[in-house]
Amino acid sequence: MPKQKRKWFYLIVGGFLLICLLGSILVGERPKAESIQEVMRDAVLHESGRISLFGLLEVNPGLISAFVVTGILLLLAALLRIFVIPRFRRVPGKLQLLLETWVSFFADMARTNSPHHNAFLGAYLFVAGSYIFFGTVFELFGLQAVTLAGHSISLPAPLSDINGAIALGCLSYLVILLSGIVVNKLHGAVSGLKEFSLPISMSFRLFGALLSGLLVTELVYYSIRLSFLLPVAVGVLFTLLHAVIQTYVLTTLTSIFFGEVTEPHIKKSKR
Amino acid sequence: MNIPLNIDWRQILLHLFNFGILAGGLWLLLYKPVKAFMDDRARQYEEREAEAEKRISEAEELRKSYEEKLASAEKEARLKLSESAKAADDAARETIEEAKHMAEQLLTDTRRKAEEERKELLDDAQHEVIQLASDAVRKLLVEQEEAYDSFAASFKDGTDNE
Repeated sequence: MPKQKRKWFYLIVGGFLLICLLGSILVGERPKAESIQEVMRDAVLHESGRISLFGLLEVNPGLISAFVVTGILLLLAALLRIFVIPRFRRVPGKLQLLLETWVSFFADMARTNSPHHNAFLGAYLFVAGSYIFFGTVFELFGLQAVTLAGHSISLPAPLSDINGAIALGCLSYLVILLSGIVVNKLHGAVSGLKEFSLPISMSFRLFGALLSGLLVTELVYYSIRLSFLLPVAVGVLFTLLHAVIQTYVLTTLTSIFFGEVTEPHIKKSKR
Repeated sequence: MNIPLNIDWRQILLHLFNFGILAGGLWLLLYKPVKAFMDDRARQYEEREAEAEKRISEAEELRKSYEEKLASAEKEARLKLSESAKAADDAARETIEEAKHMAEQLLTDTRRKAEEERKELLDDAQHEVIQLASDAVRKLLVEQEEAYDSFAASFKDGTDNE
């Protein structure tokens, strides 16, 4: 960057930071509708922030987020399938490279951790990983929804809802257990059942990780003074970071346990 | 039943249903075609690599065969060269021998001819000398005869005159 441009860049950034600092000092605290304890409790339990699902059910906002994320991902996938994939070339362009990297990351992870049976695992990891990553990043967009009480809330990550985390954790365990049974019959079932704590650990790991991000964000936004500059670091960077970490952790754990239970069983010879 | 943490089985099932739809859609729309494309490309590259390796091994075999042929040709050429050299040597030796023989023959002939000529010359000279001697003798005899005749004549005349 030329010296003159760099000077302007530093001036603009410095000025912006100064305005934020002054704003955070000058703006007074608004009267709180609910205490921080209530905000935190609601973020975890969603007792008061429930949303009506087509007037049929009262659900947590996480479920609405899950539907929205699914809709967006399917729309994106359909657009890519129609407009991008038919134009794939032998030497990939930028978008093709991104898609290939996205797919091959999970396919390679499946092949590495489960060398014997990995076709289904690769697809499962791809879907689960994409869901966790995009679901977590989704909370950054702050899509609004109206609760039954008439309040406006921004939609959280789908997996910050305990039900979503349990669903994905248990499904991952189910995939591992059933694959073990299909491939190794009784031995696979025994290997799978030995890891009986896996669904709970997976579910609560996901829930805890995603919830911690949500709680930190709630905490930051609870104080209006902190919400001037800090969310850029806390909201965006933390969200991106734990989106990547949770995607990697769940897919890695699933692929490792999957590889373990589908490993060919060799009977020990009796002496 | 009041489950802690607001866990709701219906919502868990709804999450599973949602995930099932997402899984099916993403698998069908993205994972499957992209993976198929990548696998197909990888297979093509493997085929090309196998083909290239096959061609390399063929070329290597061909190179070996050419090298063997070249070595054999060189050996043959060397053999032929040595044979030719030997033949040339033999021919040269023969030619030299022949030349020597011819030279000897020529020398002998020349010597013989020279001897003959010398003999002839000697004979001629001898004959000539004899001829000359005989001529000289004859001349001398003639002269003597004439002198005698003259003497005889003069004597006769003298006697007559007396």
